[in-house]
Amino acid sequence: MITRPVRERPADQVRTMVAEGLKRTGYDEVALTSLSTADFSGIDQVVRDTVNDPSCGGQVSVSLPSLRVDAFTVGIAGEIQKARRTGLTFAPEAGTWRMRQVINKLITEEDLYAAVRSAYSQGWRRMKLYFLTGLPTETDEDTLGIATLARRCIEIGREYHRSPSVTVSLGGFVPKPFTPFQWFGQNTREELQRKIYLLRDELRRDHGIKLKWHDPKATMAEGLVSRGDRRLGPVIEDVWRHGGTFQEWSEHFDLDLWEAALERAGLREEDFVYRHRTEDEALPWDHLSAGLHKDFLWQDWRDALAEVGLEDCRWTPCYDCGACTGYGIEHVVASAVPPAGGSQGTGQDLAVGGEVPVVLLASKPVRVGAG
Amino acid sequence: MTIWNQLEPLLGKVQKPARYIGCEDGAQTPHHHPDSAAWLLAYPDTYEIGLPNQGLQILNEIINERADGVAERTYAPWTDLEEQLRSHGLPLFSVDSHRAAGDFDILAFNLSAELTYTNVLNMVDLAGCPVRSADRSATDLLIGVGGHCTYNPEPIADFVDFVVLGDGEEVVGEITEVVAAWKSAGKAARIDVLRALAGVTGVYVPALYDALFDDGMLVAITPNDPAAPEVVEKRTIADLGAWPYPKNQLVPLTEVVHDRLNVEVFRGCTAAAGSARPG
Repeated sequence: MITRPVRERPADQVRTMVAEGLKRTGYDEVALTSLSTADFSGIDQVVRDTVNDPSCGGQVSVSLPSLRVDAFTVGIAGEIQKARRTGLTFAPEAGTWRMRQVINKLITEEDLYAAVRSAYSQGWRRMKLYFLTGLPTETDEDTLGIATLARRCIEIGREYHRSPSVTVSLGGFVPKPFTPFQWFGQNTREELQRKIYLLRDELRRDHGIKLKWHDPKATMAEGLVSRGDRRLGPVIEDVWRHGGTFQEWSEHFDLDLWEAALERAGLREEDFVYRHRTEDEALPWDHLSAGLHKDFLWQDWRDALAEVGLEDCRWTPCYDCGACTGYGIEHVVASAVPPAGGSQGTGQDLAVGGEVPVVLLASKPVRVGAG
Repeated sequence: MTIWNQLEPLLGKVQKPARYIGCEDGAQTPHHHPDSAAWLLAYPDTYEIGLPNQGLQILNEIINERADGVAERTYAPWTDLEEQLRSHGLPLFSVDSHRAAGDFDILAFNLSAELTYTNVLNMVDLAGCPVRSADRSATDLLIGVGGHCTYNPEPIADFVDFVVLGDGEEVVGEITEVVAAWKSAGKAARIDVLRALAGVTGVYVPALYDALFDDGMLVAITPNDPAAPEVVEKRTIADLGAWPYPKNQLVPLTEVVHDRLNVEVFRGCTAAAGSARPG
């Protein structure tokens, strides 16, 4: 949201950068990066050209890293011929349609299952599904909806393979500045842990489904510094002075250091992390501007609670969020028509024949061994 | 000045010494000049995670193409090397020419994850620079930050001298001009360069603002200096096609995350209003 408006690299330039980059670096894999690459309007052509480029020796694989692959058309995958076949990641983000409407993640179950079916039918056995828990208005029904989705994916997989597997990756939701959820009081550590265990217990007897989750203690610390103010300075310094480095690494993260530092500073988690903020209170980033009107965000926040989804504003009428007009630029896109199956779901005939090896990786870096 | 001769014997005592030697295909060894602003671009996590960061690679190339700027790179030393550096009295260094961090003018971090903030403090300290900006003198490093997390820089406001909001491609050149001019004039008073930086659109200088609290609640954050704008606007490059960077993506000698060619096809995000990780 912060990086609105959308600016696309011209497809010709992408082709040149890909071809010359592969030649110079010797890599046999290229990632087309951005938050949601399948939304790039020139994607089909670029992928087709890269894979078919004889100078690449027909040995190049293309990755589409994204945490939000709802827009990914498996039709695109049909163009990618020689890639290694690792897992495929989809990010429905929430377990029920109601919950996805709240977060404006308008992917339907039908679209997800169609994409999953297509992938299984074309050779993949491992899926990774990325979800968040602790979302605004989330109920246990929403949390358990994740289990329902995962089971359905396994069922579809069994139609094609003996032992398909699904890994459910569950993150804790952290509200961020300049988003409609900047006022939302984050779920407590205890509440996140309860929801994680609820899902774990639900999936206990399901073969083929593995649940991985992010430590709610680290989610709290992330929330603390995401929306905190200058009073957090002494806390961060205190954690560091007591040896708290590499806090991104689960084996180094130490909640005790953060709690002790908060106590020494006379501050409470509650005030920075868990409390719902009010419309009239000052936010620590009010003196900064990301180009989005605060009243637009507030309206979006109220709409989210009312479960009103907005469509992708590149193709539909302007919602006057402020990100474009303030800079005197419109969304710059390389193609005048939306890509088939854009943000609103896969929406494309997925039954593209042949092998469709594609590498889809989460954009969040995977921690490599610490030494 | 390079510290390679003191550093080299220590690398045999730590895990993964390839993290610290540079020598990537595409790496540069820029020629430092007394009048050019020298940037040490930092990622506050390990080399494996930081090396592929496209933002730092883009800025590294853009600065080194300028006549008035040079840039090198550094990453958080793992705990074993930190121990060795501290016990031998050696500072943080660049991986390109193994120059001591204190020989640069600017130490600038890409902030992509909030939990790396304590590493930022650690690296500033290892660089031999006071961690609090109020304690720094004219000859100390300027500490800058940019990247996703800087839309709320308040928790680290005490430790950084300037914050870049939004796209860095254009503003990095403007900051280079300001710092190079201040350096050429003899780095008289630190407040002068801070004021000049606050005049660059997209640059926030926390020291020039006061945060007011009442009864445990934030009331407002307002400028305390006429050089500081009331609201700092983020920078946005209008045309991604005008910035085909990185032109020479670094190819590391050791394993890193995202070990492949990366081509950014668009920037910006319109969908998922409540996305947990807004771009």
